[in-house]
Amino acid sequence: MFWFLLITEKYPNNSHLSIMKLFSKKYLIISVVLILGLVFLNLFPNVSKTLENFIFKIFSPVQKLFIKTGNRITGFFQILLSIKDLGDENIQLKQKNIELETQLSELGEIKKENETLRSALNFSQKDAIIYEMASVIGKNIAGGQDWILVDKGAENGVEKNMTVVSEQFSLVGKVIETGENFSKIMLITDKNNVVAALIENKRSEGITREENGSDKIFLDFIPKNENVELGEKIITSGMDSIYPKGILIGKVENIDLSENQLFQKISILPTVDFNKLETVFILKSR
Amino acid sequence: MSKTIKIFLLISLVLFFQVGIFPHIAILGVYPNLILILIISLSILKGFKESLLWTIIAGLFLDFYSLSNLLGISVICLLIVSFVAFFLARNIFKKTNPSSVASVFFLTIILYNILLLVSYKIIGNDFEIVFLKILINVLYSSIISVPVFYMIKKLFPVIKP
Repeated sequence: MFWFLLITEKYPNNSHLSIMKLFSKKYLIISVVLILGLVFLNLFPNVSKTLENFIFKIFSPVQKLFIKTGNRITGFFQILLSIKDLGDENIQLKQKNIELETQLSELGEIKKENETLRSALNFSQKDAIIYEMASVIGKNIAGGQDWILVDKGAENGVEKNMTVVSEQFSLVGKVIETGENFSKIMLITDKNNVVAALIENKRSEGITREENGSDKIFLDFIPKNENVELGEKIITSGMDSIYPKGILIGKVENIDLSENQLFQKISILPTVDFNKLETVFILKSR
Repeated sequence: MSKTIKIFLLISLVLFFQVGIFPHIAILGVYPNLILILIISLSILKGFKESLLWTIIAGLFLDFYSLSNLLGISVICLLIVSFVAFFLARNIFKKTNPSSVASVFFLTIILYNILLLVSYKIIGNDFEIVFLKILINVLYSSIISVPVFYMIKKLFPVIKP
């Protein structure tokens, strides 16, 4: 009340600044209609979901185009900046490719052997997973990189808590909200998204979480006596009953063995570049 | 250029930079909210009342593209910030030189962040206060806001009080 009187006393005659003008009939009506509208939309979530769906449908082609164009433009500049490293990177990638092809053929043999043994021991097949491909059509508009919007929803059989992976089948996050034709995906970089994980070679289990507002993730609860090496792969352990076991999350980027901590603090370099996500796969069970 | 084309061009540019470019030049995952900057600019240039409809539409848009459980938080925060920006620009920082413009944006962006924080705490949304991120957001947005403001000023003439 004091501030109101102070302001009106200081600016009594200026027609643009008098607070009393804001309480004119027209603006009171607008305020009341706005408040009633917002209350209505919040009381009837189906109506707001329908409106949300409609708005996403209109804006999604535009956003998709803008995200793709933005990725191409920034990708072009990144190539220019990293041009001198391309030669070395090419040699490393060729070598890695040969190693992976060798591993793949070994794994193919192991898979055959596994199938033979399963058949012989009469083990039932695990539920097959159906992958629903979806395009990224939006992001957190207000800034921050904790969730994305994709163009598949309840109509396509998408449900809450379904796992989402990238084109390279690395972990992206999980579905947190579905509409008819869209879904919101919470990324693993969101502070509320905790993933049960393990170090692939060591099989030490822990959980991943976002590192205090930095958008980096780290693996917690790994004992200090565990000899972890840089570059080791971190995969999902399946212990949280949300994410299936064996999905690649990232690699060990840094290890902090400070004396004042009970466990090692392992920073993870995610495999997925969340800035450049355009296509994802939603894991649906049969 | 007709007003409709100017508005369409402006909205397209803002959306393009907001979703296509700025996520790639984020600092610690933070980048400016161009929609907030646009609304503050319109409030300074056209006045609070004239930009009221745009403020409400922008607020609803931000609400739909957020994880908030309650629709209307961004609308209310934007309305308050829009009025404060208009008030500051007309009374405290009367000249539209770069330092005055930057000051108005600096103060109103801080206010917007505080309002969001308080709103999320009231409705019980888990909103972690990371001061470093808020600081980066305010500084980054304030720097970007000055060229954006002058670009919008070219498109829309100022309404003199």
